[in-house]
Amino acid sequence: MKEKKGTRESLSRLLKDPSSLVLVLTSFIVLILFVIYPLIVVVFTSGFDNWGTFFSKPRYGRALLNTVVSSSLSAVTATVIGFVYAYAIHYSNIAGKKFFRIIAFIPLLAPSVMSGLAFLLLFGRGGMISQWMNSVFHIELDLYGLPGLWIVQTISYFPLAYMTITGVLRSISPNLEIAAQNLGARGFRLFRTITFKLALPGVINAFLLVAINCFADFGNPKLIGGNYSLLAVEIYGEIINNEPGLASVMGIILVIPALLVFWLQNKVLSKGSYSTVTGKPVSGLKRITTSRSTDVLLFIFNALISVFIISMFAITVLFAFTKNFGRDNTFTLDHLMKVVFSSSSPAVMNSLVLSLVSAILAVAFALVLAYIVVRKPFPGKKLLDFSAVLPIALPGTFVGLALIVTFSKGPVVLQGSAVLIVMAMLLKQMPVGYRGLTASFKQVDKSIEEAATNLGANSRKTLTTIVFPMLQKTIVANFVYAFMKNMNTLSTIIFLITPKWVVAAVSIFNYAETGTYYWAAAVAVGLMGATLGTLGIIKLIFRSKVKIFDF
Amino acid sequence: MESQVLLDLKDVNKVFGQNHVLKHINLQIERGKFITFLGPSGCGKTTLLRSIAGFYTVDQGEIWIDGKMVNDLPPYKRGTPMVFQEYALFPHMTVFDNVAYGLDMQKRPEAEVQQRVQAALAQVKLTGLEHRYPHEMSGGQQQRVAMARALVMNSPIILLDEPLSNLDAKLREEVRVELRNIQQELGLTVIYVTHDQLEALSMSDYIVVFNKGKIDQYGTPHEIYYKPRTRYVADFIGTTNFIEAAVERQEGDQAAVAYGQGRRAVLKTDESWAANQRVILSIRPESLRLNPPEEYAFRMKGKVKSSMFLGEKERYFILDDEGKEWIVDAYDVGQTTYDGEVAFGAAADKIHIIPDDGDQA
Repeated sequence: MKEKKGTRESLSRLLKDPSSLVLVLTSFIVLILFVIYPLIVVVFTSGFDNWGTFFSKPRYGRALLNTVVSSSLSAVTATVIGFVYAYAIHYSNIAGKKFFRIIAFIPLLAPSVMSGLAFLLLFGRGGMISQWMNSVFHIELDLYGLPGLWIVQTISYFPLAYMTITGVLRSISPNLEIAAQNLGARGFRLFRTITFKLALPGVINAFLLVAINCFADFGNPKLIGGNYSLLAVEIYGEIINNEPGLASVMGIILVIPALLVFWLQNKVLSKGSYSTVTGKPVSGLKRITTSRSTDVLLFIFNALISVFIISMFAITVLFAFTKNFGRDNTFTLDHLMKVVFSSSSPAVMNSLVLSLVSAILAVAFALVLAYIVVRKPFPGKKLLDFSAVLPIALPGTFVGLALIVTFSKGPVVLQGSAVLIVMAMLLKQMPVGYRGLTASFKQVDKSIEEAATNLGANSRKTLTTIVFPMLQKTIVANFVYAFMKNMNTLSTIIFLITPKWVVAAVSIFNYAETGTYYWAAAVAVGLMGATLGTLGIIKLIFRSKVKIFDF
Repeated sequence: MESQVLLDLKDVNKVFGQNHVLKHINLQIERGKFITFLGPSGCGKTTLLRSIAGFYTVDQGEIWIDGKMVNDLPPYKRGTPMVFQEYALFPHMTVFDNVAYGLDMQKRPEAEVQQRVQAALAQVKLTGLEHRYPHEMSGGQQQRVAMARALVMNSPIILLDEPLSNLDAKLREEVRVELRNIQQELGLTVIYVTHDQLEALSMSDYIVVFNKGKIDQYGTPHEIYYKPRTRYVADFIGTTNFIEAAVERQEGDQAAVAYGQGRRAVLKTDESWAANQRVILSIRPESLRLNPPEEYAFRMKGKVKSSMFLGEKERYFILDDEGKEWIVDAYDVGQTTYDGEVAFGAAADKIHIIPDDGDQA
């Protein structure tokens, strides 16, 4: 007999299973309220008049052009640097590979606006290097605007490019390069005909990822852009001016390229990538590595990038622990006491609490969604899946904008509470976990569960003794990832913070904008300390079961 | 005149850490022969193949190809095209570009590349599929592309590293025949690595049996099968029965041996044995007959423990009087099956004497 399918059948089965029914209904309500409904509100808020205004005022056109130009430039440089850096780590014989891996990981511990802050401390008016250049060479360094933004975004997003490209380089089977060598290829010709061609999809992917991230980023453009205004900065202005319509128009423009990239990635993914047909590497044969002279060049390149990153973090730390670095280098804990450990400045504590709560909820929700979508029949599954994944394609700036526009008036008002901040973080991180957990759920073969049932476990026992333990790694990994992202996000929550719920990233941004650099630096150090401390505790709990620092 | 020896390995040694993987390998391979390196995984056969291709540098000894010492040549200058176990086809290139790759590296003129690639594709019966990508082909077709990519190089020697192990059984048999045909047609020298004894026996001119990093035997498939030089070889190739024995004396090609509890037989042998030398007798199941004729030199008695119908033969598991188990194959038996007490034995020339070195496969 054929298994019965169809909407009515799945509905009747769902009605007989009340606990699943509750999970399905709750999921629908949350996703419709916080994903679908805000999207509709934003579209309606934008309105024809505002579209007209946007296209008639040159100021907005210029912001759009600036956004396209600066994010493309940053994406090109970040991708090139990311590629060379990753290539050096995977294809050369240079010393210090582990060190270079750690260096590329460090920027992920801090909000991207910290790179902006460090840049100001080094190259801004009165920055360390600017002053030195002035006194030695009498050169007036002015990098505000496009040049500075380009450099800062390149450094901020090069780790993203590096990690994306690393994934692809790792997946290239050494077999292919060995086979090419067996047929007479070597050196740059081998690189050009085989390695680079195979890495190309990953390189393009890295470029697109960096580009859409820069496209919607808010902190650094506002801090360093100066008169060179970008869309995200204009949105911020319109929200402050209480012009949600114009803000919505620009928000929608931010979303379009992101959705395009998302669609493109899915299309390519569904076609299958090269690496799937290349098979596993031959045991015992190592990847062919670069020549000695290339090694030297690659080492110098990676060392320079590392020095740049280290000096950015070093200058921040120096500012945080001295009275006023450069003028008064006396060691002090005053700044930290004032902006991190004081009850009147709860920003770091707020970040910690909100990030933890949101990360826990995000993973829990992702788990529920993945479970019902993979295992339970119910009508509207496609819609639920779609709205669960969709936020991955939405820039943080847009998510924040949509939530503030939607919940500041109308039937549901949530403005001014921490709920919106938690929800915004959750929406950004939940889809990542949902995707990972869906994949893991599918990997837990049905026959394993059937084996448990066959040995006498009921469905709840099967879930707790078989399925969840098998998913543990994915769950913890996603929690860690969500937590780190939450700690460092600025774009997503900039519109949602309230005087009571200021978070660290915003605090860094505010202090940096008003020129109180030592406080900005102190908050940045506090934030990184809190992130590292929490990761350390998680590491202690799960020990070797979970790889947090996977170099 | 061209020397008949194409590949000459002189005292080749390779060590990985504590592991002596190739121990004093000496081997001469003639032009136009199909040679198989046979052995279980970890025996050194693949290491030797990769050393010939230049992926490993040997720690001691010399590798000569076509009269040239190649120890210091990098892989891209050796001219030893290889077919990889996983094929290692370039996924971003069409079949044509895959096959043309080696010629492009030599910067051959366009017209020549075109002509040679087409010829190679015709040899492996892939004409017309030039514009496909590897992922659009079946496993068998991918295997042929890998073969064509090596053939097109017109190299005197081709290396194959377990190229059939990813194909299903039926296809494997087909490709085996084709591969042998191509090799004979073109007069290629092929070195073929496998752990599959059937593959080795059916395709090769010569088989090299590897045992823990050394060569145990080099010979034709018939020699390897019927005249294994060591217990290891006899055990590794096919199914066989062993029984310990001692040579009492030898006269010409006749050796008198004592085996079991006080049994004696006079056997045919090609080798010379010392008096009282400990040996092992290897007797293939198909060489043993139930109810043997009077003139059979080797005789045993036993009880049928169980039997198994294998289509063309019935396989008996027999426990002899002394508690040792024997495998005896009976062919063309029709409906009769034996049970209970049986006598079995083998003719004097079907029993092979091996020195007892205590080494087993």
